[in-house]
This record gives sequence, structure tokens and C-alpha cells, in this order.
Amino acid sequence: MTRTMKHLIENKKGQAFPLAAIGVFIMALSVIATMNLGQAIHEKIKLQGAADAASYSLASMEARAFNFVAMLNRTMVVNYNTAMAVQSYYNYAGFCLFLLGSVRDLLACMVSSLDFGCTFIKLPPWLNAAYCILKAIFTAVNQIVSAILRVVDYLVNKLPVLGLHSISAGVADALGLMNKYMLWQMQLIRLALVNAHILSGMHQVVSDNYIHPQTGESKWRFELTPWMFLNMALNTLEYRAAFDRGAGVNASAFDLLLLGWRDYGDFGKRQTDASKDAVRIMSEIANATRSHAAIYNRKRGLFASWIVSNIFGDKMGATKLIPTGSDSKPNPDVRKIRSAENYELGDVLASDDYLTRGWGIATVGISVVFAQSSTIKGIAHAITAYGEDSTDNNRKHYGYKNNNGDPAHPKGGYSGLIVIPPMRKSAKKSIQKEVDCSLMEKHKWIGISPYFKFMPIADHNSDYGQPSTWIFLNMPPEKFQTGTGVAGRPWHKKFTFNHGGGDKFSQDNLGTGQAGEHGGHSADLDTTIGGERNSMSLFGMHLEGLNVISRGMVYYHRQGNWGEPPNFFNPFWRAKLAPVGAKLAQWLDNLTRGIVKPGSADESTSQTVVRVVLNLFRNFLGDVFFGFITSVMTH
Amino acid sequence: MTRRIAFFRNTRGQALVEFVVAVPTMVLIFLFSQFFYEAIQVKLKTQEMARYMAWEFTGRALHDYDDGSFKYSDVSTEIKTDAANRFSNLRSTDLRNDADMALAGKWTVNTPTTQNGAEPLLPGGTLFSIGGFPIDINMVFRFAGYVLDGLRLLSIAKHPNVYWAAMAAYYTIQENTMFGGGALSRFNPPSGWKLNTRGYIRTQVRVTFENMWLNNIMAISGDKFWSKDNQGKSEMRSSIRRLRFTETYYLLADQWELHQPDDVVGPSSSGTAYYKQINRMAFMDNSMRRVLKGFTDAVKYGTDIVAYMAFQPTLGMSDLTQVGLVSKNYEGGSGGRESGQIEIDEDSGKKTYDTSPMMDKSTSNVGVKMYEESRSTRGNNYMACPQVESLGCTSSLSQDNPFGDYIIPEELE
Repeated sequence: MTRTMKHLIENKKGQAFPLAAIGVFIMALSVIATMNLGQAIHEKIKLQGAADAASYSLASMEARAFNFVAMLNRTMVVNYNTAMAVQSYYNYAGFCLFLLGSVRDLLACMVSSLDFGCTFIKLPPWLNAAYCILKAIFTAVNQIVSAILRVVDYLVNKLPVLGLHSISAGVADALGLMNKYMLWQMQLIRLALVNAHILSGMHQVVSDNYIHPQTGESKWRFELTPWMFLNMALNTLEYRAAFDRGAGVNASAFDLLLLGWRDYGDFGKRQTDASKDAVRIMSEIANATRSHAAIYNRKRGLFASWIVSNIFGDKMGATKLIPTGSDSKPNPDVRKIRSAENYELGDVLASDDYLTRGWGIATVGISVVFAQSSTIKGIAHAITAYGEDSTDNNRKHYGYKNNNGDPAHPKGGYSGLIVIPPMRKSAKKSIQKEVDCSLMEKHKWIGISPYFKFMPIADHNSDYGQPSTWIFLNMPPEKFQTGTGVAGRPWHKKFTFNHGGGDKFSQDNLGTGQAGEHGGHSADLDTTIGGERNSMSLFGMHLEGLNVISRGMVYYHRQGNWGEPPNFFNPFWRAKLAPVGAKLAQWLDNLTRGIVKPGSADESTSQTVVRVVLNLFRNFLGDVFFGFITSVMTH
Repeated sequence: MTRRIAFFRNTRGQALVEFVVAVPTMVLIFLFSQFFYEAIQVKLKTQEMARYMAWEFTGRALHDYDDGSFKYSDVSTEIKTDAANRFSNLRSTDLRNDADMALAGKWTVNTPTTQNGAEPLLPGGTLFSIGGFPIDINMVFRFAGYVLDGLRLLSIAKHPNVYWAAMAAYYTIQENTMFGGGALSRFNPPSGWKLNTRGYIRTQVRVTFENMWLNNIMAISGDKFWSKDNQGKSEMRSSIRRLRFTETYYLLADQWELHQPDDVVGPSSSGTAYYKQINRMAFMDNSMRRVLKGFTDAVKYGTDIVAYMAFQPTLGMSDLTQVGLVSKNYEGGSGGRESGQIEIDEDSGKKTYDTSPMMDKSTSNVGVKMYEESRSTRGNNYMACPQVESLGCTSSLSQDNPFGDYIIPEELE
């Protein structure tokens, strides 16, 4: 036995054979490994490409939606502009009505005083005749003006259907309804659709990138994996944070599905308070609706306005935002409206007419008229910031009604009027105010429709509130190591070496070999990439196979002007891919804000150490961590 | 028998036999290694070409807001030409015409194809069942659309307004025409707005990779050496003599970018693309706008008549439905706010207003600083960085410094 062993050991015959066999086996393994590695690289690039495409496409979807929202917000503003223009015109018609009424009042005073000279005082005949002729002339003019006034009043206020009031009120209301039930709804469903894509993990894009060119079928199936939940959660949170709830509902699925319409209710409630929010929202709309083409001032005309303004003071007016007053007294406070300082912000979009207070003297013959202009309350229509609610009580359409309850503009009227000689009672009666300032309950304006507004954050580390899109993908080994519907590609070999068992060596395609099944000890040699043997487990998620991370970003950039803050009123949103590590560094910066401060000459040693350590960690996050995540962990 | 034993014990020529056996094996292993290496390289380059072409679409405008035309065809031609130049031999940096082969293989790049598809769809499949009737996501969205239709029609009863009733009726009747008639088309803008609803780009590249030495091997070894498939052809010959790589890439490009950043100050800027786009969208469509204009004209001319009767000048707006779009550039940083303001001629004289809807100084209810703070914080550099990009958006040597920001105190910089 010993001699035999010695002979075998010393015998050099055939020694090249096992060496050659081992060498050829190693070379074959190398070829197999090359192919497996090559395929794994291809699959990793493909998976990263699919993740990049998905995150970018999701960012594109969001950018499209944001631009769409911006354009529709502007379109809604166009509607408000038209409502405002209609409001201006209708109110201007009322202004003209007021001028005619004032002239009529003035003429009535003149007729009254001339009647005094003509009828009640014994004067020389020629003077008496002159008074009577003048009285007749003024009476005739007054009748003409009164006739015109009646026609104008009919045209402005009383003509049904085709009257200015009917058309302007109807059109302005319809435009508000159009904003809500057409344009805002289009915004809502578009944003909800984007959120559905978020919840799908942008599945269609990933799936399409795995379509087999011959069969046309994708090997990527929609599955609720831990990565998918991570995609859903992160992207929903990012998406949700983009919306300012103060301007309507939040379009994220979290709010639409879980919170229901609570935001919408909040919006309505907020609008019923004359609060800062309501004013802010109206001021935003006002900023958007300001245009050189809108009506902001009234020029003096001839005759009537010349007479009125030169006797009693300037007649002014505008269509703009004005404050409503208080909750307890929602009527517009005309004294406030009269103050030009209150025009800049307000929660009522309205036209107002007012007279500057002043005294004037007019003389005709021996009649002298001293007049003080009253506070003329001339609001016609008003578009309030109030949201719609179930009771309809909060949406007021401010205006005036006459004694019959119909809408009316004040047809002249002065609180202080002194005529020398004294006018007759009939004249006084003729110029009594015919209007009563109160709410026109019959004419409720729907108010400002909800609209979507971006929530900016004044911080570069938070990307100014611009949302990111995250896609985490995992491809388990069985999906990229096997062909379609076959046991495996021939180069996907798993070798099992047994010692001490029945079989010394076995090899099989993946998954069919059992280590040690033939007894004894065994060792595996797996030529494939990405198996369970060298994968990581993170929070219970097994990461065998290939793992990739991609981050997209939706960003706002007005070409040539990076400084303009992101918003939903201009369609300058775009998509891009963004560095993943930089976001981690940003999160750390936010967490350590206040701890790491800019270095200064008198910084203490401990502060320097803390700062340096944190900065080292920050750079580790940015540069090393994700190298580790995407390379080592996903091998 | 004795001679046979002697033959096996004779070691003369052993090296030659081993050489004859080993060399072809080694050569085959080498050739196959080289072939597979080249095949992998070509496959990766094919993948790169498809990816390159798809991402090129993201840098081009696929839609022109100025006239609402679509640019996909032109862009596709440009990108195919560009890709053909860069990848004609799959070697981006080698411009030689005959560089389409290596040691083991020769490749041919077929003409790539591109497609401009509609936006990606939601995953299909049944979400849940109602009484055995399967419900998928598209049905859910379609149902949501019907709910919105219902709310709109109910609003007529809630707000009895003849103008609104006419508008809503018109919208409902014309909905299919406006949106294209598809089941989920309402999630896209009306076709009359001429916004791009496509841009889901598909690029596909096909490359043929041909083995240059397999024929010679087959000629030497003869067909009998290789196994046959069910058609009697050599399996190996048919499987690796000519490989065809097809790589496809999908992504959604074109973000409806508005490339004109001009200031828009109302109808006087009607030549800008931004104004034209909003003009297309105003009042839903031209038909509704024309009808509406009839009523606003009635208000306008009625008021003018009243003004004439009162010897007053008319207000002078030419069209009450004109687009009042005002959008001026705001510059970031301190002192830039005035750039985005306009002057309005009011009763009390000229007054200055912001044109942006959101330039208030207030904070939201969650305490986050709003637009004005955001504007004053943003810089005019890439991605609104306060500093130029090379310094990494910080105020010192920044990330170039392994110890982080501010290692050099600001006072000493």
C-alpha cells in the first residue's frame, strides 16, 4: 500500500492532464463569468435606465400638470378680467345715471327758485316775465333731462333680460361658475391623474422599457413590493408639499382620498372670515388681473359731469379691490371705500363711485345754490372672496336696491342743499334719494373659485419647495438570469462541490442544485450575479438582485431669470434628473441648521471640530454613501 | 495486443498530440471569449445609442407655443441624423468609416426608429370587484369624470343663471368634440388649445453583429461536428453566426416648455407666444367666446349709449373679452422686485403694482415663508443658487474641500 502510494506520488505520467483540466475549467469559468458579468452590466444599465426614465417621466408629468395648472389659472384670471370689465362698464353706466340725476336735481332747484321770482314775489313786469321765461326754459330742460334719465334708468336697471344689469350680472356670475365647474375641475382631474401615476410608481414607463422586441410582452409586472411602497410614500409626500392649501384643495391622493374635501371646506370657511388669507388670495388674483387695459379711472366728460364736478367736487370711481369691512358688518363700509389708501388690498372686487366732499355755489339770476356733496354710495356689482358653501349666506352681491327692491344706481342726491331763495317743498321732494343701500340678496356672486397654488419655501436646501421624484427599483436574480420560459441560459451555471458524499461534483442550471444533497460537505460556485448569498437586508427588505435609485426633479425656471420664485401662475416648469447624494446632504444641512454655522475668526476649537466632523459626514453622504448604495449593495 | 500496449506506453509524440488537442481548444476558448466580449460591447453600445436618442428628445422643444404646431417630426429627423453620425460604427470617438469590425465580429447599425406616443397609461388590471363585476383604474377615473359632469349639471339648479346653463349645456354637448372623444380624453386639454399631449418617446436601435470566423471553423470541422436543430441546421451556426441586438428606450419628453420668457403686459404683448397660448384657452373655445362676446358687446355698447346721453366720454375698451395677461420678469435677490411691477393710471394718479399674483409678504398658515422671501433668497445662477455653479452653491470653497464648507472663515476669504 505504501509502495503503491509512493509510486503514484512519484509517477509523473499524466500530471499535465489534471492541470490542463483545471486550467481549461478555470478558463471556461472565466468565459462564463465574462458573459454573466457582461449581461449583469447590461441589465444594471437597463434597470438604471428604466429608473431614470421613470423618475424623469414622472417629473415630466408633474411639470406638465403644473404648467397646465398655471395656464388654467391665467385663463381663470382672463375670465375674472372680463367679469371686471363688465363690472366697470355697468358701473360706469350707473355713474352716468347718477350724473343725469344730479343735473335733474340741480335743475329742479333752479326751477323752484325761479318759480319763487316768477310767482310769489311782486317784481317789475319785465323782470317777472324774465323769471317766468327762464323758469319755462329750465322746466323744459328739466323735463328733457328727466325723460333721458328715465330712459337711461330703464336701460341700465329696469330692462329685463337685455338690460345692462341683467346681462352684466348674469355674465359675471356665469364666468365665475365657468371657472369653478370647468377650468378648476380640469386642473383637479389632471393633478389627480398625476397622483395616480405616482401611486403606480410610474409603472408604465418601467414596464415599457422591458418590452421584449419580438414578443411585445414586458417582463416587468406591477407588484406591490416594499420598494413600490417607498416610491408611493416619498413621491406622494413630495407632491403634497408642493400645494398651498390656503388657495383651495390639495391635489395629492392623501388629501383627496383620506382627508376628503376637508381642505375645500377650510377654503370656504377661510373665505367667510375677512381674514388675512382671504385678503391674500384676492390680492393674488388682483395682481394677476391688473392690466393696462382694465378700467381704473374715470375721466370727466362734458356738460353733466363738468357741472357736477365744478359745483360739488370731483366725481371719481374705479373698479378694483376694496375691503369689505368686518364680519359683523359685511356691508362695504363706504367711508373706507372712499379712502384711496384702502384700495390696494381687499376681498371684494368691485366698482365704486364716490364724490369727494366739497361745497359749491351756482347762481342763476338771484337764485343761489349752495350744495354739499353727500357720501355717494355707488357700488354696483361686487365679486367677493367668499367661497361657496351649502347655505349660500356668505356670498354677497353688494349693491343697491331701490324702494321697489330692484337693483338701482343712485339717481343723484345731495345731503346738503341750500337754495336762496328757499326752494319749494315740491322741489325738495323731487330730489329725495330713491335708493337704499343694502345687500342685494337676490344677486349672489359665486365668489372666487378655488385654484391651485404653489407652496414655495424660501430655502435653497429645500429646493425652494420644488418636488423631487424618486424611483427605487429592484430586479431579483431570477428575472435577469433566466431566459423567457426556459430553464436558464447555458452560461448560467451553478456548480456544487461535494466532499465525502456520493457525487464528487455536480453542476446544474440555477436553482436546481441542492447543496450537500448527496451527503458530506459541499461548496457552491455560483457564476451568476446578484444572488441571495451576497445581498443585503434593509428594514426587512431583501435586496438580492439588482437595485437602483433615481431622482428626478420638477423645477421652475423663467428663461434667463433664475430668481423668479416658483409659482403656479406662469408655465415655466420643467423636469430634470437630479443628484441623489446632494439631496441627502441637503437633509443633513436642514437637520444641522444652527449647529453648523459659517466659520468665523473667533470660532472656538470645539465648534471647529463639530463643524468639521459634520461636514465630513455631509460629504460622505453626498459622495460616498450613494456610491456604496448603488455599487456595493447592488453589486 | 502486445503492439497495442507498446503503442500506449510509447511516449514519443505525446507533446505533439497534447499540442494538437490543446491548441484548438485554447484557440476556441480565446475566440469565443473575444467574440462574447465584443458581443457584449456591441450590445452595450446599442443600448447606449437607444438611450442617447431618447434623452436627446428631452432637450428639444417638441411643441411651438407661438402657433401651436408640433415639432416632433423635425426633431426626430435631427436626432436620427445626429445619432447616425455619432454611432454609425458604435464608436463615439472613432470617426473612421471602416471601424465597424473588431477581431471576432463585424456589426451593422440599422436605421433607428422613433415614435411619439400618447402619455403613459396607468397600470391595468382589476382593482376590485362589485358583485363579480371587475373594476379597473380606468373605470374609476371614467366614473370620476361622470361625477364631475353631474356636479356641473347640478350647479345649474343651484345657480339658476341662463348664461351658465347655456355654457354648461354647450360644454356637455361638445365635450367629446373638444376633448377628442376617447374614454379618458378629458384628462388631457381640449384639442383646440393645441397643447402637446404626446411626447412619450420610444427609440429603438437594431444592430446586427456577425461572427467573422465561424464560417471558417465550420468549414474546417465540417457540419457533422455540430448539433442540428429541428430543421437540420447547425444550432450554433444559426444562434451565434449573426446576432441581432434590439434595444428600446421609453421616456416622456417635452415638458410643454414655454421658451419665450418675454414680459407680457396685456393686449399690447399679443405677439408673444405666452399671450397667444392663453388667448387660445380663454373661455374654453372660440364658439363659446363668440357667444359670450355678443353679451359683453351688448354691455359695452349699451353703456356707450348711456354715456353719450349723459354727455360723457366712453370708457374705450375695444373688447371686454380680451386677454388681460400680465406677467413680467421678477429678478431674484435684493432689489429686484421692482422689475416685475407695472404702473396703473388710477383716479388718484399713477400707482405701482406687482404683476405676479403671489408677491405678498405674508406667511402661510403653516408658517412657511412665502413668495417674497423665496424671491429674495433665490440667486440668479443655475437652479437659483446664490453663488455660481462651480462653487457648489455655497459661499466658500464648499464641497471641493473635503472638510466641508467654511473651513476658511468668511472673514478671511
